[in-house]
Amino acid sequence: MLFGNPFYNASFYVHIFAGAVCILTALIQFSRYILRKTKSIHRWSGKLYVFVVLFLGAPTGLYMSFFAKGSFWERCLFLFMAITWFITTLNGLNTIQKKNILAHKIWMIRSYAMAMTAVTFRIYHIIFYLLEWDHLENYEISLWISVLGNMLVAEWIIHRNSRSYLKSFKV
Amino acid sequence: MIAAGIYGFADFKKTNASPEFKSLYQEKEIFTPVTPAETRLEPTRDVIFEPAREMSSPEKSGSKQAQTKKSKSVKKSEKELDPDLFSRAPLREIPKVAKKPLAKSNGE
Repeated sequence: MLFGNPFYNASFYVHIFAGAVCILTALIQFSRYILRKTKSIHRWSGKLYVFVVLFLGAPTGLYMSFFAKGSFWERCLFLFMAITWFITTLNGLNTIQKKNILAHKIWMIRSYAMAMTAVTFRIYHIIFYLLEWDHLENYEISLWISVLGNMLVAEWIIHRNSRSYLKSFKV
Repeated sequence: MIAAGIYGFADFKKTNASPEFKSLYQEKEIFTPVTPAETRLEPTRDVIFEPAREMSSPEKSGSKQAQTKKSKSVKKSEKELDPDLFSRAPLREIPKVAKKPLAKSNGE
């Protein structure tokens, strides 16, 4: 029924393409080796990531969140994910334009945590499927765990990195 | 982003009214055929799997006298055991007609 709508159909495939590009480019972005060797690769792949998220991934995700499977709260969660993904990526772009590298790192970690919910959701979904959970229950729980879990992991990584960063100031 | 949100909300309002969308994510219960308990192949109490006993050959078993003694004892035990007496089933009524000719034959 939904795929009969050409706009939904197009946004679905665009969202999949955007997600795949984001996950692949982010692997390059978080590589310290590439960043040390050539900054141009980091810059170009970063520009691609930002463009894909701001113009393709997040808007199509926001549009499709209204039709998502689950209850009202699952749709709200998808809505929250799309908005958070957009805002964190936009903040990451703004901070690097202001040459604030530390803030740029923090916002990009948060952005990538949102992008990776697509992967972690499926991991949880498979685990709960193997545990023979009910399908809808499995779907809803794995969705909430993937979003909240990724956010917590991102904040933990930021906290750990900032602690080591603050230690570097000690004489 | 704002345009996507507004368009999505408007589109959702339109499609939400249709009954097709309401029944889109409803899960149908799948009835799996249940095999009755009688037809299931399970090991019953009556079936006992034991390795076959090795029958001792007459050559190995010793003298002929011992063999005859054994056979006699077996015969005795066969006579003593009456399945009708030890069975928990209701006693069968043996037709008298069948027994009488047997008794006569024994007497003769």
